[in-house]
Amino acid sequence: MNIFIFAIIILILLAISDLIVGVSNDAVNFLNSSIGSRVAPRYVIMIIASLGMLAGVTFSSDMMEVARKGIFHPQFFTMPELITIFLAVMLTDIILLDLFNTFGLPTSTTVSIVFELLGAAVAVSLIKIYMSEGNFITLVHYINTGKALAIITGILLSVVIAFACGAIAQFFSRLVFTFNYEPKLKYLGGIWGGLSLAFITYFILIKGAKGTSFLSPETVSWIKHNALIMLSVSFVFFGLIFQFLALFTRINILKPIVLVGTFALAMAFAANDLVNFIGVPMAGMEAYNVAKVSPDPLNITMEALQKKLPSSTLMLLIAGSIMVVTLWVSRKARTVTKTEVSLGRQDEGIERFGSFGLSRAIVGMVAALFDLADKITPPAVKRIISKRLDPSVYKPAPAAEGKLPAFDLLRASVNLIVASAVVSYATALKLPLSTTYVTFMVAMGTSLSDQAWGRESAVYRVTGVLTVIGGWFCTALIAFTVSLFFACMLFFLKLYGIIILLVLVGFVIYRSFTYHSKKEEEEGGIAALSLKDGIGANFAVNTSFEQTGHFLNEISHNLRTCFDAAFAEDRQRLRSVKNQTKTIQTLTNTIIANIFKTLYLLNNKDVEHTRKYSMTIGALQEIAESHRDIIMRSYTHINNYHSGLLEVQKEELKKVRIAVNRLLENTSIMLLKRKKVDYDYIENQCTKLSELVQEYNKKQILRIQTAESKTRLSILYYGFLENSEKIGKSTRNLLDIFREYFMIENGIKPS
Amino acid sequence: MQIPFLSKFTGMPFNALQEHAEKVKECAWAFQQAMECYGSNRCDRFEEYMKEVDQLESHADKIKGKIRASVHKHSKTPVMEFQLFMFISEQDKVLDSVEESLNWISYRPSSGMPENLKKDFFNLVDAVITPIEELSVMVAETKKYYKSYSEKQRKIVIDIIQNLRKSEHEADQLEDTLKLNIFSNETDPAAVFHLVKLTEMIGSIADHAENAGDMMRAIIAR
Repeated sequence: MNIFIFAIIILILLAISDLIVGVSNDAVNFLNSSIGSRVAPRYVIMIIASLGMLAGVTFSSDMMEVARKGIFHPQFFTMPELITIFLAVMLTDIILLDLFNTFGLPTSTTVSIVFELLGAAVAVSLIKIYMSEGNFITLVHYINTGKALAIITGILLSVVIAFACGAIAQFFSRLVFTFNYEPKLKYLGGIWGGLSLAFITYFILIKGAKGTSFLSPETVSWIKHNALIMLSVSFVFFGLIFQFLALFTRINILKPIVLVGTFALAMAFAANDLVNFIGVPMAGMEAYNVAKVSPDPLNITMEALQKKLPSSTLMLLIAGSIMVVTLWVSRKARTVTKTEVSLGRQDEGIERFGSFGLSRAIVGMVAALFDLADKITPPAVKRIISKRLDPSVYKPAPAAEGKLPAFDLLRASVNLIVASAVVSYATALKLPLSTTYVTFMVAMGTSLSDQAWGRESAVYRVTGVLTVIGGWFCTALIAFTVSLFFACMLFFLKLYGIIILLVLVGFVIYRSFTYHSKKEEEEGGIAALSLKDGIGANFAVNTSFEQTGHFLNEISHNLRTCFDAAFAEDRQRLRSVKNQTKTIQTLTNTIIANIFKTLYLLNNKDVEHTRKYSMTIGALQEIAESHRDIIMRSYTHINNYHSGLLEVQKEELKKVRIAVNRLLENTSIMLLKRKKVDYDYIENQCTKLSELVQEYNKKQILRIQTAESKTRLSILYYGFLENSEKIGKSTRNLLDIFREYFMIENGIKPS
Repeated sequence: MQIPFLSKFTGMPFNALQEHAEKVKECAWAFQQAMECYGSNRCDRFEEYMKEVDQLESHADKIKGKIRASVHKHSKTPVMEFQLFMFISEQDKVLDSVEESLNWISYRPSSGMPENLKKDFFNLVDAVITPIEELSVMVAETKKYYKSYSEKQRKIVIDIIQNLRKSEHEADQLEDTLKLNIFSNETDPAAVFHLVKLTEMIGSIADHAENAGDMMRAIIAR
């Protein structure tokens, strides 16, 4: 029995880890609206969410049954088999959720736990059937197949229903309130507030508090069957309060609505999803306790788990406290929230996702549909709609922290109302909807209606949404297969299996942590480069110069690594520098975006003044493109195991590399330190580089004629030479532009 | 013999070392600009470059002090500490040589650079700058080595040190050629003395860079 005590201890430790990774992923469900709209300072939002969670955990006592008997029938399993299943489930869950957190993708912790239980239970059942030489068809007796199918249906239902509801509700709300909603709240605030709080209160009662001892089963049943009365009474009650607030105070009534909604969703999350993190270890402990007192602990079947077992309130509160602490400190929770907020943000900017065929096709189709709708809509209706839905009126004021919200409070409140309404309605009808899927899709639907996905961003946002939805299906698939595999390992390897898998989990968490930290650092660097609103033209110009200096430095560093790695035929370093090209591209785009912003700020200066400045864009693009070309050519050449550069070529290219690095770094210093430009020096360096290129060009021709250098090698060699020369020339042009800009700025007429 | 795990806790002051190497590199570029200015008939910024080198030198001195204090604070083996000080000292001598060369030029400001020797001088300066540029890369790669302790990373550092030696050797050859040309082209004894000494001073810049490389080789030796 000692091994099982060890396994139970491991399960408890895994429960703590799972709570951490689970909250990191699910926090977005209740934080998205309040963080996105910046309804209050971050700490206020976090306090409200924490209180919601603490309230929620005390309501979750009878939710633990899913782990015990929701997916499989415990009467067919013995305690060692159940411990195997539970260990496999917990280990898989931690790896899976941590990976999703690392990539900032929200997923359903319910779907993951259910499919992990399914995978592990199938594995153990199949092994049992095989060992007893039984018929594999009997597997259906072991597994609750109906539940699994219901969850898959839930994914599809969530996606379609929540998105459509979000889009429609936001469309009509915006039509009524417009983007300049504040004056309208004076008259319609009561109706809006009543409606919002009615849905949110109903949601709290039906979803969050259904397991509480405060409400008897009869009361819950009454609430379920008298929804209309409940909603009407709440509507009138809250409507009156909000109308009073709107008319006689200066309180923006949308703020309390969003904060109460956040509290409600946080509470529902804690009440319902706690089971996903600690339900399995608690079931494991129960199985152990039942077996321990029986005369044959290793062979007794677990019918006892069919019964309803009370949960310890202390344990629930400890779990709640861990969740609260995680909510405050988890950086991965911020990453997941950032993904959802950025996919729905009203303004344009740097997009996190790229584009691919399906997203382009969807955007194309939707654009065609809108065109059709545009043609058949009467002009008068069109005029009214476009006037009321004009997003150019949207001028958000900076929030308490000085940052602009991603969307306004009206959208935040619609997100919360619709999500609460959809989840409550589905729960009342016993439809299996995931809270994560609903909140995400509602947020995407409302952002679509708000025209947040304009022509400039729609493809990227759709790619993001498709990636998240794809992740949901992957969750089920990965959870099932990995858990199945882990269960097999644990079944046959016993203690060794536990140790191997624990090491694996530790390794995956360590790797994902380092990857996430690195990614965060990179993104933080890029974000810090973006020019904020409300700055002056001179500051913007100076910042652009500084950023260009950093950019040249990065290019120089990457080129050096690329040249050296190509000489040494080091695939690993080339791969790493190839991955850096994306960052450089983002950096280039950020600087260019800043230059456009600066040009906008310089609108009162003369055209010649600004024209020079705008020419930097071409030079920056040329440098980034040539840098990328060198790296891609080198990577392709070396990665395909083509023959390496000849010694003589290496020597020549080394000299070219030195000249390019010197040119780039000197220019960088001049821009970074605003040093007086020694243009002659840069010109000399550039001429030196051109002379080297010409000289080596001739030498290479001779090598081609004597067949010393093969075709692919020559292509690579010329790639190095020509791109280096281009970088040199563009750098000189860049410095020339900056020099002239400074001369104009200082009132000196450039020659 | 180094113990990788323990070294993680007794960490070398790499950020400061890198900062110092960057200052040395900047100083070398300022020197090259000063030399080009000295060789050009229309440049009047030589004094400015001298001041710049002076400022960079004093910045580097402050960094050196920071490194010394930091090394004393973090207990290291005496051998490592000695090697580290020798390394900084050699890197510092690069700066001293640059400063001395510019001062030496300033003693005969009006004479300028003989037209027929200009190219040789520029080539020599170019050649001595290269190993200095390698120094900062060497420190950056050594820092990576002390994070990973991978043999591959150590090899990268050793390759840089070899490049450094090669560059120094090229600089030596150019120094010899230049001296030969000075003796065959110049007749004025004062000019010969001034130019030969200048050539030797410039050549010594690369020597110190090479020595710094050798010290680093000793630090990463197993």
